[in-house]
This record gives sequence, structure tokens and C-alpha cells, in this order.
Amino acid sequence: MLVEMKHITKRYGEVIANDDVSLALEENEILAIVGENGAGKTTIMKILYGLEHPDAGEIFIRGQKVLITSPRAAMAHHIGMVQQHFMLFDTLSAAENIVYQNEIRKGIFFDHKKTNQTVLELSQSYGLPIDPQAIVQQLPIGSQQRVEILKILYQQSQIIIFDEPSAVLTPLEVEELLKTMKQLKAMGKSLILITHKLQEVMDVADRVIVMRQGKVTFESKVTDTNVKELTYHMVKRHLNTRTLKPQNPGEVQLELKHISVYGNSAKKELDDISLCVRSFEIVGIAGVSGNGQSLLARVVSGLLDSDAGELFIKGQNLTHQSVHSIRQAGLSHVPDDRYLWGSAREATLGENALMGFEYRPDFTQKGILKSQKIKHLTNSLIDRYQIKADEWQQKMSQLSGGNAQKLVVGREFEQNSEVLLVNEPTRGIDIGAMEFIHQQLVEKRDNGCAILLISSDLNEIMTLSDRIIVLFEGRINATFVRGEADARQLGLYMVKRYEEIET
Amino acid sequence: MKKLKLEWLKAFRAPLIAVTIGLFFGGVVMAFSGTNPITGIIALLKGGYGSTYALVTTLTRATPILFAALAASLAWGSGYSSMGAGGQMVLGALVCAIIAPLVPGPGWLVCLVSIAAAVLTGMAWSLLSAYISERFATSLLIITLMCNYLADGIASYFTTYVFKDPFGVDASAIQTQKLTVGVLPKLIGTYSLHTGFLLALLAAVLLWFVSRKTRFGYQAKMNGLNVNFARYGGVPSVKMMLLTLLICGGIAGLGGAIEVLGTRLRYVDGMITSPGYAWSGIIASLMAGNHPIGAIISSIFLAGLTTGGATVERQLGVASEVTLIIQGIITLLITAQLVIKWKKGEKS
Repeated sequence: MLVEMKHITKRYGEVIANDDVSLALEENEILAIVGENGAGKTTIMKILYGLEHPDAGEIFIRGQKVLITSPRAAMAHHIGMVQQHFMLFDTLSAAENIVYQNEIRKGIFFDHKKTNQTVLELSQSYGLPIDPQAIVQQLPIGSQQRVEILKILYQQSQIIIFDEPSAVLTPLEVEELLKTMKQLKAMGKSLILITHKLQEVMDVADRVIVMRQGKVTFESKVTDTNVKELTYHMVKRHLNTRTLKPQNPGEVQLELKHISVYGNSAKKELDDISLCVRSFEIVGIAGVSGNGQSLLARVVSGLLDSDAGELFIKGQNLTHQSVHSIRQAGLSHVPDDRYLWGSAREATLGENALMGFEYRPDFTQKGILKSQKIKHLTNSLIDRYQIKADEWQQKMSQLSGGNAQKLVVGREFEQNSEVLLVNEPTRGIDIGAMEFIHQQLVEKRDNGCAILLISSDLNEIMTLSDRIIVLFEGRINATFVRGEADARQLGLYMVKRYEEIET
Repeated sequence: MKKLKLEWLKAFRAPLIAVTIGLFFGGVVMAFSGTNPITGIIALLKGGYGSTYALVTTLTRATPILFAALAASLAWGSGYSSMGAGGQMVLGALVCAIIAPLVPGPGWLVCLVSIAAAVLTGMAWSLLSAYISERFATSLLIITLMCNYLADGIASYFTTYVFKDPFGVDASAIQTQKLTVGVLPKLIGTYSLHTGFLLALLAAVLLWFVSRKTRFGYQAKMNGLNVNFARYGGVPSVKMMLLTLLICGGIAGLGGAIEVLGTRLRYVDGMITSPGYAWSGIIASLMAGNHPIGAIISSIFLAGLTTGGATVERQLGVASEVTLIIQGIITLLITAQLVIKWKKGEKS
């Protein structure tokens, strides 16, 4: 065995990310780890790469027990990781990035000529073409990833971890990447691939491990299994356990007409999106992260101006309007990142709860805050949404992720808006909080709210949505009514253009 | 409730540690120049706060520092790293000194008009740097620093060539005409302390109220803590930036006017910049964690160091630069702590 991880447990506060996980990697194989968001795949690999430290468990490399305390220690054991977000200096050249921390010197100076030469040879020997002198930020994402891989190869890694490498790539780039991975294996490297795209697993991996809720739930040789079985193991427990009360959708509350965002590249980042959400319904937006979901959310909430198209809320044209006017028109928004957008960590719970309410006469009078009312609001949120908190003036940063998310969700739900934009409402929180938030969403729907739900968790989309829209490369790739498509079918539309599927 | 009080006490811990270490190194420097550090530090504190005369001098000096600190506390507390209080004070002071002799009528009217002119000047100067920073997406810190030099140059030019005191006995003095009407009344007998100090206290309380109890203050604070969160919640960020910096400019301009009307009674070239009022103000605000009421204490403390430094120089022959060293060390420690805090926050 090349690598063995035994009985690894890792907790973040009250959330168990890895619960007694054991896995092994053999010499010269590609091991795939699949699972939903929050299943613990990335955590277990971060532990192997020294970015996180386990609360319990041991790691063995070639039978020797090792302690990996930092990425530097991991590198010493010839372990490298291609992270989801590339660790590159955007303004430096490809070659400079690749040799970073192991620079080639001439005396005390950086030897540019030799560096470029070495990197060129490296890239040729692995068949990963790259221009050593190209500035990283000017390279397409696929090439940036190649730089990242070359950096790891330059560090002489034998074990290479890929964390969702295809999430950010175009289909053509994905093909290239899979080819590269096979080639690396042929050259004697051992690879671990974290992904939730099952087709990739079937294409390149030798063995596959399925994780769910922090545990390993299934393990098999790829030749002995299939996509259907893997899907079952990934999502089985709570798939469609929730039954939605049938409702007759009411009037159109939110409507997008031909919305486009051009972005910098030739490809439009959002391409001609038209959709509507009526009251008494949840419309789910499915897709692999990075296919336009976050842009869509920003356009609908007014944080980003669309380049073309129109936005209507309750019949009112709100194209090019401010966040404030869109909120006034009746939209509430649960953002995808509770700390980046959804809260101020150093502010109190009360201050975080007040956002969006600060113009209401209940909470301000002639511009002066009514602190008793704010206290009351915060405490009622704490009560109603079962938030574990000491008191309303403690800092947001003291809440656990799930409780912070409940506060953000609660604040937006309590605005009593008729239109709700809900983006990744349960990312990275425990099952209990997730169930609770789902329950609240369904209640909102049954009370007549029009809800646009964006989630990269397919299970969440299938459980909650009356209609499902699949976004792929910034376009609407498919539309389904609840129950019309299963996870496999949806998954297909999440990774391939419909033109390719339907011909 | 008990927990809250502890939190409140904690706010004092960091600045106290910084002050202690600063004084310690001040003592070391004194020891190098052959003075017993203990007697030296005691003399420094006594000279700063130990007698009516010392205290009154310190409070007078604290007045412009406090105005600068208030401007800084609003800007920095709202997430804008503005260094512009210096330039805004200089121009405020200059305009006040030019306008005041031109206003006919009783003292209170002269004060009112010249102060208003100074406030508007400070606002305009602040708005200029805010606009440049916003329009060209450049660092506000650098723009405001550059604007300070510019303001100082402008003030120098006008006092030297245009508004130079025509009645001055000393022709080499670069200053404007001395005011006779519209001077702020003194508070205690013939001591230097003037009503401007009370105005500064009032401004601090007012700013505390605005920043902690109003919608504007709430939005400004959220903007400072997490600008994305503020934008997400519908706070108009550009408008907030302009408004916040406008008020900062107004406070700084007011500070400049008060220094003219209360202490110098004219604009003297370098009267704001060479004592480093604006710098001390920014340090005072940082020490107080950008809290307006806390800034009162830290401003008085820093002013006292300077007053005491002068006394120590006279009595013990220790160069008054020792106070600069103490201030420098305090600044270093406070900013280092801010950086650490910021880094920690970024990590988690």
C-alpha cells in the first residue's frame, strides 16, 4: 500500500466532517472519491495534504506511520494537491509560479533563462504544453490548471490529489485533463480524484470510494460498478423523502427576460436566460458550480447589472435598479456565502439581524435606531429558528456555521417578502440544520411565496423543486417538472450541452 | 450583562499594554541620555497632567488632536483608510483665518461664518480625494496623503504671497492678520484653554450617537466591517462613501477653524502640520478602536505626552523627541495588533 489513512475523524465545532474514515491508495492507481457537497471528501484530502489536522486517526505511507503537519511536510512525502482554487500568483509567469519555493538561482539572482528552459523541458516530458513566459492571469483556466499540475510535478510529487478539477473547466478542457491524468498514471504516478461527476470516474479511475455525511459508504473497483449504483450510494438516504403538497401555482412574481452577462471572454457568462417563478412554487436551478448560478443570483438581487435583458418583480420592471429598490419591491435573498455576503462576522447578532429591516418604521424613527425593537427581532429569530446563541449582542463570529446560516435564512424569511431568492441554503452545514431550513422553505412555498432555489446539491434541488432548470455554461440546458427526471438524467444535462445529448 | 462589561474592559487592555511598552522604551532612551528613567517618566507624566497649568495646556493641545481623531474614527470605522484629516484641517484653518477679518458684526457672527466656511472647505477637500479615489479606483490612503502635501503647499503659498499679515512687526513671520473680534472665549481665567475644547467634547458625543444609534451609523459600520454584506443588504456603497468622507472632512475643517479661533488667532504657516496634530489624531483613534468617546481619552493622553516632553526637556535636559519615540512605539504596537487581528479574521 502506498498510502493508508486509518480511522480519521475530524470535527468542526459540532459538525463531523470525517467520521472514522479509512481509505487506502495503491501504487500506480487512480482512486476516485465521490460524494455530495459536504460529504467530507475535501476534508479528508486536506488532512492528507497537511492543510487540516485530524482529531483522531493515523496516516501511513509505504507502511511507515507519518505525521503530516503542513503542506511542506506533505511535499517532503511527495504528496501534491491541485486545489479547487489555484494557488498561483496571477501577475507572475508560468515558469516563475512553477519553480516557486524551489527557485533556480545563479549566485543570489533568480536565473530566468535556466528556469524557462527547465520548465519547458518539464512540460514537454509530461506532454503538458505551456509557454513558460506567459503571465498566469492571461492564461485560460485550463492552462492555469496545467501550471498548477506542473508545479506539483516539479516538486517531484508521486501522489497527486485533484480536488474537483473539472468544476471550472469547459468540456474540451475536461477531456484534456482526463487524458493528462491517464498519462500521469502511465508514468508511474498515483492519483486521487475528488469529484462528483460520475462519468469522469468511470472514464479514468481504477477504484472508487463513495462518501456520505463524513463516512465511507461504498467502495468498489470501477469495472465492477456503474453510474447508477454510485448515484444510489451517493444520495440514497434522503432522496425524495419529502413529499410536497400539490399547490396550484399563482401569479408570476419573478420574471427574467433574455438576461445576458457578457463577461471578458468571447463566451457569454450568462446567455439569454428567460424564466419565471410563480407564487406557491419552488423553481430549482441545478448545475455544477461555476456554470452561471452565482451570476444569475447577483443579477436577480441587483448586485450585478445585466448587459442585456429585463428583470421583473411582481410586474415591476427592475432592470438596472439598485439592490435597495429590488428589496423594496419584495425580494429577499439568502446568499451563497454566509460570511462573504450574508453577514459581518465582527458585528453583533443584532446588527446582522437588522440588515434589510433598517428602513422599516418598526425599527427606525427619523433615522434613529430603536434598540429594544432590534433586540426583540433578534431574540425572536433565535427562538423561531432554533439558533444556538447566548445573547443578542454577541458577535456573529461566535456562532457555528449552521447557526450562522439559520440566522441569515431567518432574517431573510422574516422580511415576509413574496419573492425569495435562495442560493445554496444548506452548503456546509449539518443535517439537522439542513432539514430545518428545508422545512422552512417548503412552509414558505405553501404560504404562497415564489421561490427561486439555486443549489449545486442535486438532491436538494430534486427534493424541493416543483420545476427544475439545469444551467450549463451560462445557458438554460434543460427544464423539467418535478418527478420527470431522475438524478442520472439531470446529471447528464449538468455536464453536456443538450444538443449533444439529444442527437 | 456581566460578560458585556468584561468585553468593554477588554477594549482597554491592548492600548494599555501598548502605552506601557511605549513608556518603557521611553525610559530606556532616557537612561541612555543619563537620566534615571523612573524619575524621567514620573516627570514626564507630572509635566503632562500633574498641575493645573500642565493639565490646561494638555487639554488645549488635545482639542485639535481630538477633532482629527473624530474624523479618523468615522472614516476608519467605516472601512475607509483616509489620512486626509491633516490637509482638511490646514485648509479649514486657512479659510477661517482669511474669512474671519472680513466679516462685519459681532464676535458670535464672525465665529459662525468663519467656522461654516472652514467646515465647507474641509468637506470640499475631502470630497475631492474621495472622488479621485472612487473615479480612478486608486487607494484612498495614498490620495489623501498626497492631498495633504498639496493642501500644505496651497496654504503656504497663500500665507506667503496673498494674505500675509500687513501689520506684522516681524516681516519674516509667514502668517495672516491677527484676529481681534470673533475669538473663542477662554474657559479658566487667563489659561489657554478655550471653549473650543467643549465643542470638541460635544462633537465626540454627537459622533458617538450618530455612529452607534442611527441608521446612517449602522450602515456606515456595516460598510466598514464587510462591504459585501452592506451592498448585499442594499446599502448604497458609493453614496455612503461620499457621505461618510464628507462628514469627516467637515469635522477636520472644524478642527482647523477652532485652532485658529481659540489658540493662534491667525493662520501661521505650518501651525497644523509641524505639531503633527492630524497624525496624533489618527493614532488616538486607532488606540481607541475608532470609538469616539474612547478617542477623548487617548487624545488627551497623547497631548499630555507632548506637554510633559517639553517639561522634561526644560527640567532634566532630556530631548523632547523622547515623546515622539513613545508615540511611535505605541503606533507600531497598535497597528501590528490590527494587522494580526485582520489576518486572523481572514484565515477563519
